[in-house]
Amino acid sequence: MILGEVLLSPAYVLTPWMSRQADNAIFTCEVIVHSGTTSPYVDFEVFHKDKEEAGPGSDAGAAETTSTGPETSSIFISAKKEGLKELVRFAVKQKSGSIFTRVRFLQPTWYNTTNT
Amino acid sequence: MNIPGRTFLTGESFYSDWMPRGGDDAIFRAQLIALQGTTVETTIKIYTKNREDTTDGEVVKDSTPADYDFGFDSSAGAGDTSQVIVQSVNSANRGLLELVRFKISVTGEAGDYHTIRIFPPVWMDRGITA
Repeated sequence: MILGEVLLSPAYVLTPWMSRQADNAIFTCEVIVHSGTTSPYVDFEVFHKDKEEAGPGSDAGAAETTSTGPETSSIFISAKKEGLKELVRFAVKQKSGSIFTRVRFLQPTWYNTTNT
Repeated sequence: MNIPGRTFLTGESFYSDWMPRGGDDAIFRAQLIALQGTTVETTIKIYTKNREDTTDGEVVKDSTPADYDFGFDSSAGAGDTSQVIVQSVNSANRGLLELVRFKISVTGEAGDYHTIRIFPPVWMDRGITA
């Protein structure tokens, strides 16, 4: 978990790499507070690569869904990806029109495929 | 708590075991692994109580109030995942108490089923004060 970090425009941030805990995962980026007008205020992407690879990794193409917290104005961006490589990290970019955004990344839900 | 793939026949309704609350708020997620039937629907509701209570617990509601539910309707397919974001406030929604469990109920035509697993919850606390 990465606790509330502030992004200042025009920030584009890549987090440190973490090891894949399972083949598949659902990741969550929570936009806690923001100055923007266009939800979800940030572009959130999952990057991955194998350990043998050099470089920044590639966009894993995770399927994203956005929802507003039922009791707060927080925005939760969930990104589901099946077939992750060995290392995973996040790329978060503030959308234009925002001056600042405070985001945090919640514990991933790791899982393996059960269907044969 | 992680509930691995388990098959629930239509007409069944029961509780999971209790687990300790890991934060005031949480994201609960489940996956529909397999199914039979086109009319099967599953509700997964969240129950909570304090350790001192001896009851079955009370269903967790949002401030609408409506029951939080991360089940699957009849349009869901194998591999689909569901989630619900549970947040507590100080008025109508009292949020999660010390212990949490799920109530799974399945409806549909006799003999049909949903095979479901429930992932470990993503526990969290409020990130801002207002």
